[in-house]
Amino acid sequence: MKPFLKVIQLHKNENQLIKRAIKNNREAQHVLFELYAPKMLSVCRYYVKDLQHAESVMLDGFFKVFTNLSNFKNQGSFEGWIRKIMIRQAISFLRQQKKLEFSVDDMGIHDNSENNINTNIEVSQIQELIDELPEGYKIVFVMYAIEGYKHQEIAELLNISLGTSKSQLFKARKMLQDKILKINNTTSYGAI
Amino acid sequence: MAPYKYEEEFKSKLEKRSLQPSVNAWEKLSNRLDKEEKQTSKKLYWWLGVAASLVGVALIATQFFNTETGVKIDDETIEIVTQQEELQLEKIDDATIPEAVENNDEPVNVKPSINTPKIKKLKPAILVEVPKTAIAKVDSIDEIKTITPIQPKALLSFEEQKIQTVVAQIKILNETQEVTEADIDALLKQAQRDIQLSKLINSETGVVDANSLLQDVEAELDQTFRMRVFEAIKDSYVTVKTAVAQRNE
Repeated sequence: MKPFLKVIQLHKNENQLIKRAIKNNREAQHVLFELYAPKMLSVCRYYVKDLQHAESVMLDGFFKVFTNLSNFKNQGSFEGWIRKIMIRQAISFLRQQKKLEFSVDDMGIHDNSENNINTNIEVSQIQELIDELPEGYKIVFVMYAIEGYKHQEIAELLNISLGTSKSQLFKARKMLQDKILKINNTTSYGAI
Repeated sequence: MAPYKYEEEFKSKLEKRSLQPSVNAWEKLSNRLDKEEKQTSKKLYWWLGVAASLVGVALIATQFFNTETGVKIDDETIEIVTQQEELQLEKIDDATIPEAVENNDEPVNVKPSINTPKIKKLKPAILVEVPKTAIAKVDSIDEIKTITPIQPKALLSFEEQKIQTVVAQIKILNETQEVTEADIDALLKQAQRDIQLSKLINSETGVVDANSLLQDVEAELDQTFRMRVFEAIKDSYVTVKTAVAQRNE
């Protein structure tokens, strides 16, 4: 019961903070920033390779959050609302850098049987594997596999076709599997 | 497509990660928010200024139109005053000229209307302009007699003297030479000036009455206009008369 009450209390506190932040109360905005900035920086880092650039994207995102806070109508979680803003900001950043290129080839899409790969990879290694993917593959993979977006939503956000979204994901998975297998083989050889 | 096993592992581990922002991250954001707030308030003040200007212009326009109607009212009052000061034309017979001259406020403009160029008998219809005032409205010569001026006896006698002098002069001229219209006009004008001058200057104190002087000037202006009008009417009448006579010949 106590943890449940704690959650309610936190939610009530957050609502009060949001109300004050809407009125441009800098202290309330600072508290909200401290609460959500670490998580949001991590989200931005999914998409942007350089940490400084990722922080810049995160700050741009929070600027939009606080200047449009009155638009948050308590529909869903506050964190989910901020996260959406961060993802859009990251996409905008990549577009400005002209890094969003989606290669189109005749590679067929088919089910890959290697979907039971076991991995024991550290989070830093995971991030490295994702960073090594081409931008087009990476963004679709992250939005689908990590963020949980559907192909239709990805296609709309990135302004690409449904087929392109699916093909990009397929290619991303192919590359990742190959890399993971290499890591696993290296590990197992190393263990020997 | 169903999520792969390793993808779920990636998701789980990445979701748990948090990265600490740099030390001055909040400061950068705070400064940016302050700037944005100032710009927003400037815009608000600008719009307020525009609104205030519009209100001011509307007020000034309202005042302007109100003062215009005020001017109109003043014009009406001026018109009323001028009507009160308008001279009333009266045709008075020659015999009653001495008694016809009355009213110290306005000068008298005597203009003869002569039928023939050669004057042997001075029997024209003499137009005497008597000012119409709210106080004294003259209907007949008898009434003129009853109006008491400031210096009644002296002024009447002076004016009477002047008229008689003019008549005598005309008679003398008539005996010696032919009297023209211009001669009579000149004599009458001279007599009029003398009468006006006597009115302006108080003989006892020797001080010129400013109000009388002003009224004299104003009347002179009116008379000048009237004279012009009469001259124009007379000329037109003579022209028409001549044309008709020539046609009949």
